Amino acid sequence: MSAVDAATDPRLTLARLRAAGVNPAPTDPRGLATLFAAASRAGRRLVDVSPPGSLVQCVSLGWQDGSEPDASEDTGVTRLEAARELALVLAAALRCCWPDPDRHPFPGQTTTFETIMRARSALDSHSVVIDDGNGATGIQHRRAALQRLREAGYLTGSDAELRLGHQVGLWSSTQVAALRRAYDLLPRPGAAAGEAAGEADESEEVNGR
Amino acid sequence: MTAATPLHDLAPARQADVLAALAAVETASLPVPEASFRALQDPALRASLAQCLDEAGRVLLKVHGGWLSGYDDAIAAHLAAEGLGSLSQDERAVLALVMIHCVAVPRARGQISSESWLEAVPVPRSELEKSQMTNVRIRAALTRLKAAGILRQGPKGTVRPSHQFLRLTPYMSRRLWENLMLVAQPDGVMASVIRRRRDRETTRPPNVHHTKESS
Repeated sequence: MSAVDAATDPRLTLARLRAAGVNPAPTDPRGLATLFAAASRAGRRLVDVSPPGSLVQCVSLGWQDGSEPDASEDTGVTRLEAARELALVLAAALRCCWPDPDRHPFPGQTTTFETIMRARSALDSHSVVIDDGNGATGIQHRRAALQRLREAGYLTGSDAELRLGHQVGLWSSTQVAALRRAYDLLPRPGAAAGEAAGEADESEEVNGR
Repeated sequence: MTAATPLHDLAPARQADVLAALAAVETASLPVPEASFRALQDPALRASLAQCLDEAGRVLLKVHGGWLSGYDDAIAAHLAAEGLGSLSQDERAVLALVMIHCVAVPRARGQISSESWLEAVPVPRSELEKSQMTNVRIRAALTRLKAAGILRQGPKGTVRPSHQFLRLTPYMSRRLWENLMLVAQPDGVMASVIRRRRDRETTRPPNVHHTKESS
């Protein structure tokens, strides 16, 4: 039988990180180095996802470069597809918070709920009004999608000051490169309804945690 | 069990095999077929994969002929005690209702004989709304449980258990079934047996396993 030492077991620390999504990093350098080494032994990567101006270093558990979950269809792996509305709202939020495609989208810049909703409207030609079975349609549906993105760590903050969350900070350079190729298809903040061109579903590729 | 070679002691190509399988079992919604990844087919690489998972408090689970991952039992007990990743009171209440209607009652009636949590009779949402919870709270909890992959939509406004149940270890699966029996028949003989066994178990934590067969 193997006991778990709640204070020092790095397995428990990494499990906490997985369950919580993001946690403060150990403040002593030796503790931080131990955690980095533990993540590496686990085949994972510890990523600094501290928001700008944070007094505390925040870390999350990402994939090693080149070993991200493969989103192609012929891997034999079945994954849930993101709901279309979720992908469209994420596409809008991503563009609003990612002004410079040469840089990693995280941490990006802050935006507002209204700005994201306007950008989302630019994708109206890509959407179908769906009744989710709970009576939510239209703007309610979009608000619910944004809330789900918040809960899943893709967005953070209040409606007046939204920014990309730690999940975006975990996107590897390979994943960001894939998104960068679709950058011009993302709806610009302030774009008129239906103005965005092409498909914006590239964001669905980035769904592994 | 094959002795595990640590990830960093493997040749680069074999490390890539293990990491590919790791990403697959950690993110798939259904069991990953063994034939899809070299590190699932080869016992030595599979042991390395199990060790990688163990380093993060996870275990490799054989489920319906494929592979998935879950939390190690002892680690899960710690997380639950800390409230990490736990469901809210409303989510637990709605989930209990769904499981009683979808699994416990049909199993007791002999409608389903499989021990798989996905072998379930979908329950209409209207049935859940007969409970003391308000419809608004039920709807909110259902939305969150579906988003988490714990429940899914069935035909004609019904709900049923979803793929996250496949990530339960045999120990956690047994605990869940026992909990359903405790809720459904708290004064029954089985409930007494379960309570007595749990009283004995409280003095020792669950074993820590590395690879488990769940079906």
